[in-house]
Amino acid sequence: MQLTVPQLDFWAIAPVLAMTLTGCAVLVADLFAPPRRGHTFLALISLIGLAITAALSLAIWDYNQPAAFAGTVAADNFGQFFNLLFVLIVAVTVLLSHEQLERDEFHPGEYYTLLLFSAAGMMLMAGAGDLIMVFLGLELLSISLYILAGFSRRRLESEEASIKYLLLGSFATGFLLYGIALVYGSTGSTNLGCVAQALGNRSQFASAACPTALGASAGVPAMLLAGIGLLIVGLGFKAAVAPFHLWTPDVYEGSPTAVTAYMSVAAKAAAFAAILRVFLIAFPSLVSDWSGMLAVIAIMTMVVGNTVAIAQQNIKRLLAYSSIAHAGYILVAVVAATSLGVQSVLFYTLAYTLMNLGAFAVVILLGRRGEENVMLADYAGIGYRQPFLGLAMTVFMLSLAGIPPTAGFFGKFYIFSAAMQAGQYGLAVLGILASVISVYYYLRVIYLMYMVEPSRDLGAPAPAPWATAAAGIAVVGVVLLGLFPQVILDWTLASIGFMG
Amino acid sequence: MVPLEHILVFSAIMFAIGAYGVMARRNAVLVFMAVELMLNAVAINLVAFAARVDPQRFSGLVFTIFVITVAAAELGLGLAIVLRVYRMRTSVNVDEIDALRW
Amino acid sequence: MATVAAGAVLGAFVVAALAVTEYLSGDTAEPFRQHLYPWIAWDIGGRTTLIAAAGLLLDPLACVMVLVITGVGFLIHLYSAGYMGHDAGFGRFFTYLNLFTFSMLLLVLADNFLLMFVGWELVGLCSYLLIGFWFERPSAASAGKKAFVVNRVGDWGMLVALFLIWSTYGTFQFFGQRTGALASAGVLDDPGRILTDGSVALAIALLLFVGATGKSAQVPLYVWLPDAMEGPTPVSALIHAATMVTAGVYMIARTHSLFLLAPESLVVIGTIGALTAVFAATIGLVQTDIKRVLAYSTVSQLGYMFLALGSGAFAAGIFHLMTHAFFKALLFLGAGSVIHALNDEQDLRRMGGLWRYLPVTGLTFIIGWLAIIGLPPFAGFFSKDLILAKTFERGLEEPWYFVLYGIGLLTVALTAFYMSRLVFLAFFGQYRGAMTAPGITPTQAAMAPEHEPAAAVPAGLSMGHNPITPSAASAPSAHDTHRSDGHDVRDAPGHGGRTGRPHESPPSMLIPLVVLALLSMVGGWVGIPAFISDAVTGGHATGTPFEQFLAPSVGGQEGAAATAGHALDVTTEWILTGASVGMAGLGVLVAAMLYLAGVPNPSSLAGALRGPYTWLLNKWYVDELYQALIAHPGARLASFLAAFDLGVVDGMVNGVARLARGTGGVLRQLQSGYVRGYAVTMLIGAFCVLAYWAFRT
Repeated sequence: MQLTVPQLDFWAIAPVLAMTLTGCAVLVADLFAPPRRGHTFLALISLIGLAITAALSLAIWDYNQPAAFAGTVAADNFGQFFNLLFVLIVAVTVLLSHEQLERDEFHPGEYYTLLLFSAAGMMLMAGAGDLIMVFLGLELLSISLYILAGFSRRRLESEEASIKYLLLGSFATGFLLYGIALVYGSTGSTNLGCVAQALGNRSQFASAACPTALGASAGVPAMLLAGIGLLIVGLGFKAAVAPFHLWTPDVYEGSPTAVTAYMSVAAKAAAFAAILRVFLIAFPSLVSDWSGMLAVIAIMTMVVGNTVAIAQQNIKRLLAYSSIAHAGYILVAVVAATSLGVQSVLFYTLAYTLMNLGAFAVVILLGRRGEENVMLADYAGIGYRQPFLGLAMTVFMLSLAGIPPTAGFFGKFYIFSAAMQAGQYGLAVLGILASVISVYYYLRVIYLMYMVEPSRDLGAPAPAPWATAAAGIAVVGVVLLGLFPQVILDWTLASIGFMG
Repeated sequence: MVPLEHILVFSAIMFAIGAYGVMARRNAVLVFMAVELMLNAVAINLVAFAARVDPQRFSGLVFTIFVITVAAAELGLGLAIVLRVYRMRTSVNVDEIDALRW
Repeated sequence: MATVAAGAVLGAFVVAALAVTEYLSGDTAEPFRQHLYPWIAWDIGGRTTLIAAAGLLLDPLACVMVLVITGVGFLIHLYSAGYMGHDAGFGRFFTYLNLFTFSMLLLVLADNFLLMFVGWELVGLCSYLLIGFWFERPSAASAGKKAFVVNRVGDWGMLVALFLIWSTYGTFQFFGQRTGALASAGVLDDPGRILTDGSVALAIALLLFVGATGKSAQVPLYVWLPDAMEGPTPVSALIHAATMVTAGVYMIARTHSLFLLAPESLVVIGTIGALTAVFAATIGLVQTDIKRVLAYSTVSQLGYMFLALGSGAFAAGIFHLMTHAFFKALLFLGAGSVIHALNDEQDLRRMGGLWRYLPVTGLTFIIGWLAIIGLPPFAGFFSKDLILAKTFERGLEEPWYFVLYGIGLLTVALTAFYMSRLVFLAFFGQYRGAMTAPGITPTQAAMAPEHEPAAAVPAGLSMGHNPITPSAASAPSAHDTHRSDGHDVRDAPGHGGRTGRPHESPPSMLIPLVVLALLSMVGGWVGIPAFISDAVTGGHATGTPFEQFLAPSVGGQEGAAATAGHALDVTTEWILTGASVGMAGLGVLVAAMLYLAGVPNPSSLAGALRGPYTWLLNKWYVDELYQALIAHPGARLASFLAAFDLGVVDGMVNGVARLARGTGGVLRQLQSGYVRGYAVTMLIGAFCVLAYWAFRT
């Protein structure tokens, strides 16, 4: 054996470093934070760190080092797109958690640190060039989220969310690891580019030292297919697709709302980034093998998410099922596996981020200490008593339902267009049908807000400028994305260089 | 030399026992132990592959060390959460943790 | 508040009129287009293609629509200021109404499918909000929901059609752009450009038509429109008579070249249109609620418009759309004035002799009546006659259209009958309304024990003579009950509300009636048939002036080519006109005999025809059919669910919702809350993933 020290290109991981260091800075600053205004102080530090992270991501836009750190990190525009998306998600989450931290007496230092560390994990996942990196990113993200889910210590439900998430999450990790091991065993490498080369495709992501290719005549070994299948299970769990979605509603309902908001968009975005990386870089030649599988899963996910959502009475649970359904739509675009498909995944992830974070921001603004006012019945008459919140929620619901001209409409539009373009007509027609059904439960929220008399007085809300700002950002984003989708679409086009 | 297939079958059986444990055990601590069994099965797999398929490099071995580290972190966290659950419910039976459903 | 709202629409009308004048003074062969920015432009094969622009389009078709929407819209806004004056939700009402006007304008001015779809969805949303405007009433909330669910079916068709159009043509633009960086071709410039497969053309046309049947209430998706009468009457006039429900007609006229690619689709459209026309008219024969009669009449008239489209006479369809907007808005507003005058009474059986109390309303209503039944020289005559002539003309080529023509002609008589019945029952004879104290709602009165038990006597036909015979078999009627303490309590001077005497409406409500009455009289003259104008001027016109005006938009060429050599001669035209006027006269005559002269006695007639009568009264049992087909299996599934109330949802809505909820309920069983159960499900899922590959090969 011979050890060679790989070339260390710290620019390639600069955003991740910045995110991690921000987390550490918050941890240290927590010791010196003024006791009263502690969380404001820490939130500001987090926001500054996020700004630096974003600046670094933009600085290495077009840097294009697909095989940095001996092929473990791919610093391409795809990664930077997701880095910026994660920065946006964390920033909005910091804003919308601010009042809830105060209200429910969470310890801010740990909260922000975990938030930032989990974001670092996501960035590693999105920028992974190696299955080991996918695994490490996923675990960094997951372990932080397990803790965050149980953050409101007084509530039994939060405790329960945490342990359920942890148990099932580590169970799923077992499958993911097994899948990685089988892929490794059948191709001789965990590097995504090397796996692709082993299967007979040239890849820019291959590290310098790839093992020799498999014999072309060998066909696809069953072990490799089993490995891919187990990868689908492991990553599908994080993305919350059926039938690996069962943890989602329980965990989303039990976790503090701010954490739910964060999980519902961030973990999903990271999981889809990893799915795209793994499947389109490592296994593009096996697309006929995995696309059918994913298509079945996509259909199941859309059906389960949309039908069960109709029966929900708790808004957080409703949004949990809705997030499952949205994972199904995104999977439709993954199945298309064309450059338009990948573009639409990126677009949809951004659109979904804005509208879902916005919806949860409204839930937080209407909520009270200890997760009260989260039943749908509590939304009766909100449209009149809190006109701005009602209007914002209406925008988010319409966008989630995919009614034009909102971000959600264009997201779905691009996804189904991509599916049709790829010849997946059946999948597209079913997807449209599913989204048509989904309008029912989203409009039910609007219906409650504007057409039902309130059953009880919720009391005057405490002023919440931070969370209001988060909701405002989301509303503006959703509307702008609907009016000028082209800007983002051009951006996504620039982000998918790896599609060749 | 032990054939690769034997090691693979062995680790697959170990993984299956672990998975069975997750589903059959009611005590949360034992469920975590079953998960550990699954992860260790994978670790054996990785080491075997590293030795037989990829002898020039270290990927599998390095990965194994990561797996062990991460598993330790997960278990540490798991035990902490189980302790808190025990304090609140005076039970660590996972079947009794069912306030959230439907 | 009302000033701002109505003023905005008036401003829109003025601007629209100026824009139309400006446009018409130039070359009308090319549509005028204003692109703000490229909304979506994709890089396809290295070339940037414009998929959809954020842009508007003005051509003769859009001119007609814009003027109708803003003009009639303004009148209805003005009317609403008086009608809704006492309602607590006044501000909300005008917000929705203005939003609706905006959305409708967006729909007709859009220069691509996508922007049109934005308008299409937004008008649906406004309609939903306005139907459920008086949401305290479960029936209103339920009607809103029904409209919503039924329209989803249509929207699904529309969306799939849009994606097919995009994947076939690569653009959403109606018309191409020949200059600039984003040069592209439009779908409608040359629709056959890429289509090599006739089945795709047929699929696009039929799916678009599915969208149109939802929005424009055609068979089988018409069920929501009668229930939509739960909304305030101005809403019924604006959205559910004059504008929104005609969006489907507009859409097909706009995209007619796609339909011409698949001529089979036109036969389907014509047939559905004719069926809807006659079907709704038969139901209208026996309804006792004034707004419901008008609602079924709207469905029936929309059927005429689709018959015209199906005959390839797109201009005729739009012409009828325009005249219908005038006279149906007039009739609805007139009905609103009657309802207002009678303190929210909507039952025809409690009216009678109203022209004495409501001279202006009565006179204008009678003009509307003459217009809808198609007596010359009122507006409806010209448009309906044009449609029938075009259908007949088409029949020379395809004999099937003779059948459709026959149905259309029969419907003329039916229309004349039910509208005459309405007018005679409401405005002639003796006033049958009880001079009851205010505060007792009609429903309460009808439920009062001293009245005859329900359904024993077929009530609708017998109206002329039996005063008040409530019928539980008739549909739950939609009463405009105002939400505040009511205008009968805070009575304005001049209202006779307290005494129960009918009172004429305030001027803000009467002015729109008068203007619309004028339009219903002269509005049809722009479509004076060529054979008449030729007889007067001695010229040789190639169609009505209206058709010539619309030719650049709805293609004189294709239409002319389709019927070339089959142009009807003057004698035939006169005979056809005579036939339709004769049928209308027949309908009026029969109605007059029954309801004015009482010969034969309507109640004995109804008794003799009890079978068909009950059948009609129950609206052909369509709601029940939907219920049986969809709701009952769904209901069984739904028994899994814990009981919770989504509000009263009836008929099909209930069915679809229950089916979806039922499925959800079954799937929800998986969500048991037990971690170990989740783990088992995940493991089974993992096995299925692996088995998928094992069994696939």
